[in-house]
Amino acid sequence: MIWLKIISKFIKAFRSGESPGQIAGGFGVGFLIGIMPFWTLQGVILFILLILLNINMAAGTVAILLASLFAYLLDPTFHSLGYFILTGIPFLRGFWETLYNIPVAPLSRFNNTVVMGSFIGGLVLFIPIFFGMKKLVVAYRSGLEERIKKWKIVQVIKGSKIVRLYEKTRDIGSE
Amino acid sequence: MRKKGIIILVFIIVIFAVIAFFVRDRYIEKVLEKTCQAIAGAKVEIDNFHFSLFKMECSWDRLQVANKNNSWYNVLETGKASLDIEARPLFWKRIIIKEMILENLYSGTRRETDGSLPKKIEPLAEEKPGMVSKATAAIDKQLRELPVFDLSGLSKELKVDSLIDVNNLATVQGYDKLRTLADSSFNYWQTQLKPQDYLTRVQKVEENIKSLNLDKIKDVAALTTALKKLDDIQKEVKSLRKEVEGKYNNLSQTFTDLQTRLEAVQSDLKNDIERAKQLARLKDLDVKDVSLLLFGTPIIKSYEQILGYVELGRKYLPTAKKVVGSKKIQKPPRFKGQNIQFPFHYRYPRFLLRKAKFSAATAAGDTSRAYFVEGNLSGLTNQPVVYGKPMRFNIGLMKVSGNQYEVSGSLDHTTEVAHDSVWVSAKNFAIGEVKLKKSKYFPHAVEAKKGNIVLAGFFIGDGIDLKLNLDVEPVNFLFEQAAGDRISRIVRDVLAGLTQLTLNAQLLGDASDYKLHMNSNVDQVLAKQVKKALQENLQEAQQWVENYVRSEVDKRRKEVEAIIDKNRQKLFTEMDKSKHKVQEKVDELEKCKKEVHERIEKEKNKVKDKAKDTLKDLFKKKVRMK
Repeated sequence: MIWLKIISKFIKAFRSGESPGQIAGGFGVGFLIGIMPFWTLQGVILFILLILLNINMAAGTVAILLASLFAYLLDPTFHSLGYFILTGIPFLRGFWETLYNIPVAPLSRFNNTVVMGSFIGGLVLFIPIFFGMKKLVVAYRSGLEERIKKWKIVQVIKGSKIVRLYEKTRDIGSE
Repeated sequence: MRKKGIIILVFIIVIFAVIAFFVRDRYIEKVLEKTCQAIAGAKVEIDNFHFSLFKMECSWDRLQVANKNNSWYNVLETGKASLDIEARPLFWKRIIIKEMILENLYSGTRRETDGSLPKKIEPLAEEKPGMVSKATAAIDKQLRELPVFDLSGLSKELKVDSLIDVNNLATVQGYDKLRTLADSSFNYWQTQLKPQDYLTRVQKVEENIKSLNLDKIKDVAALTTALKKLDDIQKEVKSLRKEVEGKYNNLSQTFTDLQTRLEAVQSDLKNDIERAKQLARLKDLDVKDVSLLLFGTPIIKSYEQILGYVELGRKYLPTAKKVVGSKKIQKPPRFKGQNIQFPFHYRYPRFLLRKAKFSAATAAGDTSRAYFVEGNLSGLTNQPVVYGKPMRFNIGLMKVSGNQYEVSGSLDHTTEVAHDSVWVSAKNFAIGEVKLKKSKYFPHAVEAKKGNIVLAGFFIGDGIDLKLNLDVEPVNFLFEQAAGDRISRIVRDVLAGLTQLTLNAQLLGDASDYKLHMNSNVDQVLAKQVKKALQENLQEAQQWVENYVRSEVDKRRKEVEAIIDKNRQKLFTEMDKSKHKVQEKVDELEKCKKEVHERIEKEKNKVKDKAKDTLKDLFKKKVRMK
């Protein structure tokens, strides 16, 4: 039920309230968190940022979920990318060595191929995702919503028992 | 920034802190217990483990390590203990303990529960034999190959034929080969001689001579023609004689060769006798062998224990391995990736105990029997090459009754080749009864009251140099059976006179071979006395072996000689017969030729005389006519 609530909040945020930048920011940070293994220094920092910054948390949570699925599929690519970044670029070797010997740096697990690959991959994808999401929210608010509502799949989902049950329980709470 | 977010974050942190507070100690305790159990091979239990993140300190109320060989007892038990952990290395997940002080350390305490671990069926891994197994195997072999000290075997009842396989003796094998060679040679000569052939050819010569009908020839011309034919026949006969003589010489050469070979085989007899004596283990009594026989087994047991500890150290304190680059793993598990190793600038091994001080007591609750242990240890790490310093330890043991032990050592595994050393000193320690190897003449056990021992071992790679000096007094040798014969009585008399035992042992060698050398005051005295008594028996037994070998070899030599003699007689008789016949013909021909020559001369003279007479008559007639 909590997931339906989050999705509902996410859809609501699309319609009104928070600015498209806040939604896109939340989604982008969530994407970065979801695409990397969580228990790293940067993962925890990003999670704190998601909580503290004035960005949409529901979008962030949905993005974590989606990015995790995406990360599972891209794991071999991230491994290869991370391996190349850590070992294949000679002028970076000295930097990695220095970083490895700084006390806090190993907590970032930067020397792990998947962590490095997914972090770099996430950073690169962050910009198109941020601007893409911003554009999507603006487009949604300016007429896309009505068109989407007419989609058969949306109607099927809306008419499903789970959604109806969720709406009932939500309404009880609000009365 | 949103205020609500700060509240959520604080809430999450509080939740985590509360969970960590309640679970952290138990979690670390479980991890430590599991790790230690894997090393000890028995249950390890830690009571009330506490870890303080702010003080960087660990402590526990009690630690028990069960004895894997006797799981109802602890091999180690500690009371309260605390240790300081260095904070900085934790960033790299390195656990470095600054100092650990263990007091109230006990050994041999009884457990309330069984300390054995459930047995796991592990697949047999093919491990390369280590230094200990190689050394143990080499010493076992050395002990097995000690000469048979069943001295009765040296007496007349010695069953030499059961100990020596005569067919393995070089002379016997030589005679067998020679017999085969002689047989094949004689078969060859049987086919080559063909005496009938020679007789036929001689007969033909006879016929040819007869066909000349020399008696009937009257004129010179016919005689001259016959003489020419006789020359041709003589050539043929001479060629036959040459052939026969050639074969005769070859046959003689064959017999000469066989005779030479016969003598060559015979010359191996001396070596065979020596080899047979060795096979029968009639080796002179060696001083060091007596030591090995008497004390080898108990000393090896002690050595194996020391070597076992060294190998254990090598297992858990690995030496440096060649640095292998971070080669890419093609398919690591999902979300696990691969950790790339970069040069690490700090000497932080994964685990390091910089310094430990401990005091202990065995057999808790009974101070009269208990040993009080005090010691220190430094540099215990699972990555010696990273730490770069050897592990050193020093342990002192003392008993109220006066025994003193000191063990110190160093395990240097900072390079690819391990350099380990151990030094053990024990003063005034009780020995009791020590079982010895079972032997007919020697004691089955030695009983001693007190002794001093010094052991020094150096282990470099696979190389071992382990020396032991033992000094025991008073000693009493125990025999299972009553003395039955003279040798037994001598052994007992000698050993009864000894009150002190001084033993020096050294295990020396490297991966190619290990040898255990031993000598003791017992050896010298015992060997001298027994040797003297045995000298006669030994010589007698050696003579017995020699006679046995000689008779066996003679038997075969005579067989071969008989074959040779028999064939020599037969073949030479036939050859002589042929030779004689041919010679006869040669002589006969000579005689014939001489006769023909004479007759030709005679006929010539006759013609001459006749011519003379004719001329005389003619001359007389002419004179008358005038």
